[in-house]
Amino acid sequence: MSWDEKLLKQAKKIIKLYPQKRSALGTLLHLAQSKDGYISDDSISVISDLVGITEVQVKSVSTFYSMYKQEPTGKYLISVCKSISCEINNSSEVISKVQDFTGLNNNETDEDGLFTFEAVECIGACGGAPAMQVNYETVEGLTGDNAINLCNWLKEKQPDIVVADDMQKDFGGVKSFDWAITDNTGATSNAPGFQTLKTTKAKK
Amino acid sequence: MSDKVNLNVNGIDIQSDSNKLLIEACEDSGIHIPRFCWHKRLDPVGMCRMCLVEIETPRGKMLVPSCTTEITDEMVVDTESDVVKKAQEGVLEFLLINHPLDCPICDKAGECPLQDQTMAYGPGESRFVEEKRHFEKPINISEIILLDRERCILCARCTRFSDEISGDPLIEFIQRGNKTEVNTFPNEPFKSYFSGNTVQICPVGALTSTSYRFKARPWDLKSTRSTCNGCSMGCSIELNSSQNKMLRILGVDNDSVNQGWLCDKGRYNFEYLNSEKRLKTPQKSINNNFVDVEIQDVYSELSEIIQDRKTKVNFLLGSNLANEDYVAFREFSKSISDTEQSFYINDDLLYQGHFGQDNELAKIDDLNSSDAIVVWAEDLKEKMPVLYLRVRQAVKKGVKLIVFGHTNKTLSDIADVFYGKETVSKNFEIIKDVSKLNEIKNYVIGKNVTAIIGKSTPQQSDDSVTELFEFLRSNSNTKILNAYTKGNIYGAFQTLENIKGTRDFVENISGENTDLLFIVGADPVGRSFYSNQIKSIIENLDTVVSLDIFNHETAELSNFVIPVSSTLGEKEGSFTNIEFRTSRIDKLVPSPGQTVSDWEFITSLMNFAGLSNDSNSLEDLNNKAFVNIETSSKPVFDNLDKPSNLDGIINVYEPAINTSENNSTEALFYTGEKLYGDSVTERHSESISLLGSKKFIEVSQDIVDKFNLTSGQCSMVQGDIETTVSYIINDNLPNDLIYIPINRRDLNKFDFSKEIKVLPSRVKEALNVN
Ligand code: SF4
Ligand code: SF4
Ligand code: FES
Ligand code: FES
Repeated sequence: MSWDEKLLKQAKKIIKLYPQKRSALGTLLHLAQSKDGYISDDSISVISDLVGITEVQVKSVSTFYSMYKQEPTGKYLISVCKSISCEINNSSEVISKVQDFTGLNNNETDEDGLFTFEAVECIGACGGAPAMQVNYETVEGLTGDNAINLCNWLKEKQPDIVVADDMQKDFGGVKSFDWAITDNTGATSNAPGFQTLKTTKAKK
Repeated sequence: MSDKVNLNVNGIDIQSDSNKLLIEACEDSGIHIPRFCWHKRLDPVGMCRMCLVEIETPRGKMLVPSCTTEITDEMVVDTESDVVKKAQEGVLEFLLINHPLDCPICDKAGECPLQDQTMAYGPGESRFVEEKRHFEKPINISEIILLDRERCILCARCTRFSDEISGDPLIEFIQRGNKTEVNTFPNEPFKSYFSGNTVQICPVGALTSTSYRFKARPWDLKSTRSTCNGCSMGCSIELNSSQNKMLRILGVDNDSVNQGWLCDKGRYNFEYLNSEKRLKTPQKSINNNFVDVEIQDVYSELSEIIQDRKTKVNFLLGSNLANEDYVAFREFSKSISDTEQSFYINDDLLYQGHFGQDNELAKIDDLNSSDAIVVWAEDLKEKMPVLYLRVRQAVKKGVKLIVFGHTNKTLSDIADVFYGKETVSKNFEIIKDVSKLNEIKNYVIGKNVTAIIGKSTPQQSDDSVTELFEFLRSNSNTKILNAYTKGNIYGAFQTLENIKGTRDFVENISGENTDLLFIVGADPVGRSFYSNQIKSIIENLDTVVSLDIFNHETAELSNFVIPVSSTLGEKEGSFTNIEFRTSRIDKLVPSPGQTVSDWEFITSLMNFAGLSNDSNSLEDLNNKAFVNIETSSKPVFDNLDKPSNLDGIINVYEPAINTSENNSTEALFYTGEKLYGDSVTERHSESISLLGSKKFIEVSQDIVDKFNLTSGQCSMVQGDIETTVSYIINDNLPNDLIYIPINRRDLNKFDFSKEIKVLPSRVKEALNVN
């Protein structure tokens, strides 16, 4: 087992929340991802032991969902939307500029482990198309140039927490809902944000 | 009882049981709906959409997958409308966009549902001009199974089989959408005792076996139906051969027995038939050298011996003979001796069992209809794999499973209650008051129980199992399956009188009472709990005649070795399984060289010696086989060959087992057998030998501590005998008990009645020096 005591304890706590062990699978995979930034085969073996299903069954679930990463992910996961609303509003420019800037093809991570780039399906921000996410924090109303500025900023500042509102203010344009309340919680890692897993946190 | 439902399919009124799926109901009425993913023994998933049909609904006609639609009364169905045809063409066009269309080099071609259904229902042309997806061509997902992901149509038959039926889901869908593939976890191969079934049910050529790959084309195959004699389950099989070589065994869906499934040993342990090493000529040992002799000379030498009425003859018969072979030996013994003859069967676990009028015998199907199943026997998954599947099936249906004994690891995993080492001592005695065990009270007392009871190891006293069975019988409505697991042992029960086992052989047989010993299809020196003792007995007998397929450690000690044909595929006859179901064994390929059947040998010898003999043909012997059975549906060939009896005929018959009682109380070791070993046939079947007969023992944690075992290896020492094995810690074992699988050469060399020392491995130390 490659998980430390603390993590195992947390895992067992999670399992107790469900009537059947295997129902905890999804959450445990998030736990694994919050630890490593991706789902390692090692973690899969640990989880398979914990919930009593075979490793390949765990693997099957973890590979089904694209937000469980199978490979180590850069510090900033850049997900640019390529679905229809964004496409109509020129997301292809955003995509090609971000790719040029980072030098990455789809689903690739750079050598320094700073960026991972992916083109994704609709991220629910059609009203502010084209949109993209940094560690699942959304920025809307982008232009190609603003997207580059955003990447540049990430590269130079390398913030530990990225907050959607901040990025929106500095690099974004039109928003789907401009009446939404302000929110200073942001992402602390490239894994989907859960307070309990500490992958999301309020910025001071 | 389910109600009947009326429906109209393609304008024809049909009737069906109400709980059926539409595809099944149509099938039963002779209306075939094409399908890929649906399989009658698996839960429906609706993956492939090939089975779309139109039904009438309040909102008009609608396309539905018939494999997930339950029938309702007055349902109106069209399986041939233009819309359905269009749907079928569409589905096939989609299924083929990524299919490599490499039929010319595919094993499945000629018997491939995808090929056949594309011919029958496909569009004929594809509009897909883009690049197909590519995968590395076949990858080994186990030693014996290959997977070609390009051919896979993602029907989930294989994955459902391994999850639902065999319960070892080591293959699954990985990824999603266009990227979906079947695969294993890295470094975790598809090591299942049942993996061959996935090859058989895969509707395309994606899964293939190393055993059959590139060996033949379906249209070149000859085939016949027969019965597997690998264990006393007696699964129904189809034998396939080409150019007089056995090439493949398939499972046949016999509803009461194996329901289409086979274990991999039954499926692949035929390859030895084609081995070059088979015995082909009779041999005689002259000054410890075997020389080829004419069979006539053997007959004449043996005739001289048996014509002397004072010659004392005994028999040690294997458990893989056909019923007719047993009968031939019975008739032979009658003709040479007026006193009743004992027949020793090569089975270390033979004991009296529970037959007779007081004991109601169970059928395999009773498993499904009982409230609880109680098992205390050898590990079923290792010894009768398909019976294990049937128990699993019953458990899935909600039947409670109660397993006794610390040794039944694989069943304990699916048991509702497992009475392990806290309940059963190291000496295989139940150490608790059974009637006070809570779960027994709830699940067993006053309920319908099927008990699978037999001895787990030769050291176990007969009493211990009897006590448990008596308890069940007096407290619930119990039917018993006596768990004798070996091959056609029930055939021996049905045909022979006065049966004894290897323990009795060791106790009784000596030069004093035996001048001539026939050992038939048995290698007890190579594989028995009593190897050592049997070896020294045989060495001291005047004349020993071995009849077998290969030379082996027992044959080597014999004076004559007669090459015989195999019961698998090389002779006709009948076989009787654990529920006294007799079914047909058929011949498909010729046996090599001068081989004869066991029965041919012994009747020829009788004729040669001028003994009175009125059974000179297989039919004669078959008619005589069931003399004690008084029914009009005797399992004789005439009856068995009727189309309605292909699944076999059950005829319960009380056997005459006359073993002496075993009340030994001290178990130093627990010996047993794993499914795969290195018996002489297994060694000569490549697939089985790949699956491994690694030498290992299982030990309790305290043994590891006590003997300072490290490094996963240890040495076992007894006098001059020493062998290095790996050890596995088994938490189910009581303190101080060691499990030794003895179907491995070297591991059965020890004398198990005496102490064996376990030491940290010396090999390891030697390695350290370098
Ligand atoms: S390998 Fe065969 S059985 Fe398994 S999903 Fe693919 S087509 Fe179906
Ligand atoms: S379970 Fe027994 S009878 Fe059935 S295939 Fe396996 S060895 Fe043969
Ligand atoms: S299409 Fe891009 S956010 Fe919906
Ligand atoms: S057979 Fe019905 S969907 Fe596959």
